[in-house]
Amino acid sequence: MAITGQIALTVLMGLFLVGVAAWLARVENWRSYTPVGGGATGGETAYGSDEKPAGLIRWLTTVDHKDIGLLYGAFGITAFVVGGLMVMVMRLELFDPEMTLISNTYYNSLLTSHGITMLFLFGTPIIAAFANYFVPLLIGADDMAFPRINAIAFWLLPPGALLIWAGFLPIPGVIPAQTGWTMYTPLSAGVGSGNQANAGVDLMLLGLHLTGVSATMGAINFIATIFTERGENVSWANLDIFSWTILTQSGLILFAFPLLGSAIVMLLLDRNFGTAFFINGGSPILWQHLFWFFGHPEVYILVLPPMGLVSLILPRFSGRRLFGFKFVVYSTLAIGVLSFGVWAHHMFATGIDPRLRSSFMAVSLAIAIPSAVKTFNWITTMWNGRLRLTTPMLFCIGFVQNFIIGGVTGVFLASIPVDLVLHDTYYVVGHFHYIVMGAITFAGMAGLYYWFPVFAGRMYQRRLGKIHFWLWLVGSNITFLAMILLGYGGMPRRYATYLPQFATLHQVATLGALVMFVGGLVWVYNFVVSWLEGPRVEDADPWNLKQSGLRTNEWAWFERKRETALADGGDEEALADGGDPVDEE
Amino acid sequence: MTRTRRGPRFVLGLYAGLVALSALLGVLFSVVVSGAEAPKLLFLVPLPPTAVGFAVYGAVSIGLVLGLPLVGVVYVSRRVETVER
Amino acid sequence: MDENPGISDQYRTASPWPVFVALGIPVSEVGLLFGLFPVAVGGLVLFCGSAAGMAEEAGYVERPWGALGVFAALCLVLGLAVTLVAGQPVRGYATVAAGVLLLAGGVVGRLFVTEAQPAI
Repeated sequence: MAITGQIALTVLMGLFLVGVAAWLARVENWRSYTPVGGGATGGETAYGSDEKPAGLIRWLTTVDHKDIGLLYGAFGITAFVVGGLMVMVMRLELFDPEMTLISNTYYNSLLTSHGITMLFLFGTPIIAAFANYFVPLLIGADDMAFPRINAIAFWLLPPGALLIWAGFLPIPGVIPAQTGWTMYTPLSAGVGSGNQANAGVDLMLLGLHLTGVSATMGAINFIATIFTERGENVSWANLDIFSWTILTQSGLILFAFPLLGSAIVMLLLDRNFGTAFFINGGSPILWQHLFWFFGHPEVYILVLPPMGLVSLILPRFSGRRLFGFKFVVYSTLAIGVLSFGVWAHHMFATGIDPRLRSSFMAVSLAIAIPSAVKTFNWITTMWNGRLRLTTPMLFCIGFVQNFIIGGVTGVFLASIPVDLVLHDTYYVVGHFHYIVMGAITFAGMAGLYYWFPVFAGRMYQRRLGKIHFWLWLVGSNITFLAMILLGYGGMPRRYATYLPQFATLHQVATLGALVMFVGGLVWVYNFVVSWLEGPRVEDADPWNLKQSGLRTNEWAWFERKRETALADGGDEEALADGGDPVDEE
Repeated sequence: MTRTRRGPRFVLGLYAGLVALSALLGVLFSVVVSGAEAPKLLFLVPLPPTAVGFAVYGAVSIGLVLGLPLVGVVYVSRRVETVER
Repeated sequence: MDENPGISDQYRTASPWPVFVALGIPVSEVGLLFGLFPVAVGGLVLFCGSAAGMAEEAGYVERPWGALGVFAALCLVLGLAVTLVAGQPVRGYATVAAGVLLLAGGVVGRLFVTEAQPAI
């Protein structure tokens, strides 16, 4: 039986490789030698059209930063929908105190997967989507420094996602990981009487490792691009704020993600090869140190670029330049440096040395200062401005509001005595959801709406955009405020069931989640319908930025692109297909 | 889309909203947590451990924490108008 | 780009290799971790082969065969180390097998593949 399996696997693998080789030979062949004129296969056409094949092949083979940005975006949004549906099931389960809708173990699986999906498969990729599409445009570069590495970094994500979700797929003998997204040992090392020695956990760890490799490759690429590929008139002094945050974020990734990769490899060795890093006499606390040395910078990896988005977009609709630009950049760099000195504030309750604890408390409180500086600058920008409450602006303001609430609740957690009371309660859950959903995702939405005309060539429905915003603002505040209160009441995190006394607040939280769910439906509907049949953008400056002198390079690029497209006698889609009527030979 | 709003009014509205939210949180805290100790406003002024007491505590504390920087914003906006990019 | 609008769309912006480089990593990881011999060999061959192809396409090497040889040498050394030092024969032999296949590919390529003539 085992032999038959081996043979079958060998045959399958062989066929797969032969198929790959055949396909490669074919693609390489027409890529180099097909005569021009065949717009559909789009070889090296003479002029005016893309050097891109058409259809699916284009997306599989593209190394164009804009295409890769769109791929990242599509991937991130898909993951966001998956992670969102996961949490909707969880919130429905939590509507009543008992185990009703799903089993407790399935709840644990969803909990683990929701966290990992949102942080690694939505958060990091959606930021990479903006960065890929817009950083080269903002800094006047032709493309990324390493376009092929860029493509590799993206293509690592879909297999990574499949591995992370492998436990949910109908594979015999594989169950989903139930370790929580922090994968604390010894549980995640598979020891004890639980079921976490299952291969599903190994697959999840491998998937996570892949997303880490992907993020690291992307980060190297962004650093190289911003250092070496800037246009002639883009200097360090006038580098835009979004590129600054991407540069800082890439630096953080470069130091944090390889550490996660190493720790995951150590965990895999412990699980499969009998090493003793975390179990078998090793230290389970070592895992927490390694994980959070990555994990806390990860928080800033996720929040700095959204801050950059807000710093970029908010002034455009305040009718004035960002107040204190230099200080916003300095605070970005300060956060970047300090973020590596706060990790043990996740471990105040583990019994580490009290002197260590207080030093981490001090740095954790200190890192609030640069964040406050940024908020101060955004508010000052708005104070003297004339605000235009478009959908992207609303999401920016929502970011600021939720970031203040998330920030203030976070400062209390940085204090050891408060943390020892609130540790592992819903207060923590409420606090970080204010940041990751209320702030980071809101800023992501601001970016998606702001640049929708650029990447879709069409305009979204403004009314639906505003409905989406208000549903999310109200929904997120209902849910996360209820979580904060649950934490005050002593409700511990991560549980599928709870004492009846918490029922009301949990029901309120579920209600807020449903409001957000409706908002999400509005958003998806708006984006899909507007992308397919929204009104075409007639003006290269849909936000009237020229009028206030606030237009940035990407809009100038958009204008040139539109002019080129018009001069070629077709709209951009005809151009992308190479369907130019005069391009025979 | 062309309609604009004046910054100061909007920001003050945002501030009022956040302070109101803190007051609300204070009231709800008194409902959720039974037997809470009486809060001391700014570690000085004792307040009763009732809904009103916690509401005042939350509103005043957050009002100060956010209000002082807001005073800074107003001051900076009037005095230092070296607006950069 | 500034003088020449939209020129970034005119650069060669397609390459078939990255997707297979990216696919080769998880396939070989899964194969090596779970000790699935054919999967490990296939994944390593896919990864190293695609990386060699990409090195040629990007102009880092003239022809891919030498690069295949380098990858083969790495696989052989690594495979022997895993077998002898770490005592993991299945995983070690899989890596060795991948090295042998890559070496064979490189030799065959060098000896028998002639420079293809353009169709026109």
